[in-house]
Amino acid sequence: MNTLIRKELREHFKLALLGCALFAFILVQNYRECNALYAGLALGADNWNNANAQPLLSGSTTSATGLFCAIFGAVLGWLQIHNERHRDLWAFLIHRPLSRTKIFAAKMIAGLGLYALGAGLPLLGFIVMTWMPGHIAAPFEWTMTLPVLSFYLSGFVFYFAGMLTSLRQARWYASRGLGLGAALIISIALSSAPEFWRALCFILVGGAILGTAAWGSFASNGYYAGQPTSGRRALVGSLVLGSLVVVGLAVALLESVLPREAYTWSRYQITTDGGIYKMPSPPANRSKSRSSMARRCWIRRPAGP
Amino acid sequence: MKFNFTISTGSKVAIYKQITDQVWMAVATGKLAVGDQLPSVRALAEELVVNPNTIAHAYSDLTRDGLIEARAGRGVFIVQKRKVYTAEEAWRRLEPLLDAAIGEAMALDFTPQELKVAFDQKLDLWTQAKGGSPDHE
Amino acid sequence: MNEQPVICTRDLTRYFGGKPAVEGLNLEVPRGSVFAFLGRNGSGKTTTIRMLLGLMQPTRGGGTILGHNICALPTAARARIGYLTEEHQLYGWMNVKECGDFQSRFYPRWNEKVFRGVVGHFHLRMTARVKDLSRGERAGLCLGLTLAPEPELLILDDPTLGLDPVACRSLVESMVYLTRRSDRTIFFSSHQLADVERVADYIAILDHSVLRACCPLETFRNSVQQVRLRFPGAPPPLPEIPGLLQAFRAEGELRLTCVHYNGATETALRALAPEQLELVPLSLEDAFISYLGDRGEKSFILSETEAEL
Repeated sequence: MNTLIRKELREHFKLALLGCALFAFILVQNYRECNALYAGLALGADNWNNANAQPLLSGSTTSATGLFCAIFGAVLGWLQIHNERHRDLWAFLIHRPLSRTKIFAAKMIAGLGLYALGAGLPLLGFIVMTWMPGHIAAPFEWTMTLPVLSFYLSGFVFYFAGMLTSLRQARWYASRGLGLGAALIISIALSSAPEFWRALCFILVGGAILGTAAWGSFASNGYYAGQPTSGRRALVGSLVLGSLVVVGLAVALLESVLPREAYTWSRYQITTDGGIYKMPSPPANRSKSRSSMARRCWIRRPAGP
Repeated sequence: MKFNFTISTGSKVAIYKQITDQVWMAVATGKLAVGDQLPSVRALAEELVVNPNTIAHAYSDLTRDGLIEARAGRGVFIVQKRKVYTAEEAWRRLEPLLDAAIGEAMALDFTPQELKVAFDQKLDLWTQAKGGSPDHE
Repeated sequence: MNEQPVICTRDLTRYFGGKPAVEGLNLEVPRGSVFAFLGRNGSGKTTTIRMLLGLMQPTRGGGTILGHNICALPTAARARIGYLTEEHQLYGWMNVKECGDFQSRFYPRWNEKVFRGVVGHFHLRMTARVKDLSRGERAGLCLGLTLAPEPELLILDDPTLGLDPVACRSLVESMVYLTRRSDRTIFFSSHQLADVERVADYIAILDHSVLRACCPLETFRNSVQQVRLRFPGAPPPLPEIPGLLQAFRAEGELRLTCVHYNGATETALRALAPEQLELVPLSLEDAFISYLGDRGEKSFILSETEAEL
């Protein structure tokens, strides 16, 4: 199995190197932007935003990390399978005295290792730079690394999703991409998770489902029929999750197409003196009318800003 | 003196038959004499690039017909052709060939005189090539 | 001495969508034989081979290879089976020596001398990259990688496809060389009838996903005969002849290709009162083509067994 791991590493390390360089470049750009912000503050610019004081937590860093890790992980997983998709090369890989699971494990170890280093090293460097005193004029807490860390870990889930996309023998490309949709759902879920351990749960569950689905598809050369049962169940699970993305897209499409006046919605707001008011949208009768919850008084505001 | 076999694929004649025919012809024309050694099955198979079973088939046919003999530990040799057939059997094998030749000659409008002359000429050629020692009794 | 056959299939079937690629295949490959698997393009030969090696699930039926079920081939059995694929695909970035080193780590019985011997026979440099090799050189490298573990069963899928005559001959020579060991079986699919004629003991013919023959090569050649009948005028209409594959009419002549020409057939033909009736020998190519080609006057399905009929 070691020979296979080494062969996989040799085959794909160039891509990992490229990814590493790209990520380093992106992070360096973020770092520079932060420095520019400080310089701007010193010169009296008015674009200061507290949220961007700590580059680790800035929106651009977290979104760049999330996007990069997802794409890098998926591409690595996809390419590891795609390069051998030619049926005779696949036969050359599979027909040897090594169990299918071990072959899959060798690929997985090599691929995840390349991802871990390729995405991890630049990130580590970035964290170390912000941690070392004298670089960033903002407080540093170790818990600040958690957002980027959870995105980094989500890359593992995307790795399996990429593998699954390349493995599945389905003529309809969209059906093959549903695995990626599942990883996307996991990503959205973890980015809205209030605590890190919840995000970790999402990652572990998502990774387990997609990993099992990928292993199952690998064992049966991409066909649904010959898979072990756990693989089949995991595949169904990931496809269901992935189709949630499709449903979400369909709903968004529907919403944008339907005329706005077809529905109204309202919002409740509370004033500083404790009165609760209902604000409909779009505003009825062109003027803001407020009605108290107690329906005791109607106050009309004169029309105009 | 090594005898060279040649075989060709895509022929109407099976490969094993090509080999037996060549051995018969070689013995008849004197290229192979009694006591000459033929290559082993393995050696000939690898030289001609054919399946050894084909060579084995050819050699077993020749052994059955009494032309060659395998001597343990030494190889395959041409031996004196033993009289394996009775006179009746031999005639039964020869008769259809004579019929075919005569029938064809008739169809090609040869006269019996011409046919006899041609036959004698051929016979002379053969006995000369063999060195004039007929095997048939 | 009736040994268990090396490969044995029972009603092996595979459908793609609604179309059958292989249907009801019952094959037996004797140990130690050179077995040629013939058929036209797209008749299902590669699909059969993939199913035998557990690379594809059969839709129905099954089989055994080296005594193991093809649907559950243990990894130890894979070490005893050598598989040479049609396209001779390898990793383009490796060189010849690296390919050998890579493959040798997986097989305990790797014989480096055999690998170097085959590679030398095809005149390959150890440092040549796979992507720079010609098709014939790649075939030689793949053959070396397949033969070095000294497998008991060698499965070759169209090994001479696209090879120049020299490489082709080298490959066939290697196959003859392999027959030195009587416990080694070679199972290969091919279109090159010249090579089949040279090396095959047994043949099986697959026609449009159905097995049409499975017998020794000699039996096949002896069974397919061509009969030529000469008539003074136009040939008369043909009666029912069992085993008729093709009938060709010409001016004053009727040429029939049929299977199992026997006394009954001869009687039936003589009843037509021909001027002349003779058996014409057929080359393997002609016999094969008339066996598989478009039918003349009649469509005939024949299944031959190994026993002499």
